[in-house]
Amino acid sequence: MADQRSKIEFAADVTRLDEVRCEITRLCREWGVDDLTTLRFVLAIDEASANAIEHGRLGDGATIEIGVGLRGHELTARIVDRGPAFDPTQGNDFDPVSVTRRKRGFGLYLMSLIARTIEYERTASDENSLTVTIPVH
Amino acid sequence: MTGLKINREERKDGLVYFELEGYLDAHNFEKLDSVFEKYFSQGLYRFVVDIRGLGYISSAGAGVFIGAVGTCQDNNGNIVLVEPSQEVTEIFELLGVFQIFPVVNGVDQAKEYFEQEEREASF
Repeated sequence: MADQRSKIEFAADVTRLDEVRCEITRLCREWGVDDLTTLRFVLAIDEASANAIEHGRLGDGATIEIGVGLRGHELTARIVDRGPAFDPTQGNDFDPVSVTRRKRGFGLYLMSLIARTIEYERTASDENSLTVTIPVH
Repeated sequence: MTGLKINREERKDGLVYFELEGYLDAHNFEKLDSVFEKYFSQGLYRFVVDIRGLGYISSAGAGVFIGAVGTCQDNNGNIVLVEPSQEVTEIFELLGVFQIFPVVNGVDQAKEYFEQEEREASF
């Protein structure tokens, strides 16, 4: 597979998530990524983006940037927002059987099941940056 | 356009049946949540949810099912899922939620599931 890169920027609003999923799916198909890996990549980006929107307290006009790439047998997504510092990798607990009273908060758990790596960084420009890598089989 | 259509029909014998079509995510999960809450307020806790038309579900959507099934099971009910798509199956398998939900291949099987539960409860 040839190396690929692309970038998406969208308004930080949950109403835009479906467009983002469609665009990531389109790119993965163009890059020749199989359907299962595409679904997992889309899911990881969707969860990270929804998390950033929910916790970011982003004002009107705020955007989220997603840089995506394929290198060898690995997909990478870097999701960046300019909200207050929020590290979603803290507090990752989930038990599907005992959790039936809790409706939210499964996003990072789901990402952790899919991703090879998940790394959070508060950048020097006061941005939240979450980088997720997914193996391509 | 929320991307989620809920086509529902209340059936007799305390069973609620509805179909989901589209996608279920952080944008529209509250729409499904309010459907469950509406039936809970009527004392109905047995659901047959046909999700063959649901092409995508995020953790927010799965969370609605997971939260609702707890309330149902506390009230001697359940949520039976009918024919999840390949995409939804993959996500539910990742989360392990098939440990919680009965999954069947058709509405008739879902009705049989509840009838069987009733027979077992009566012993």
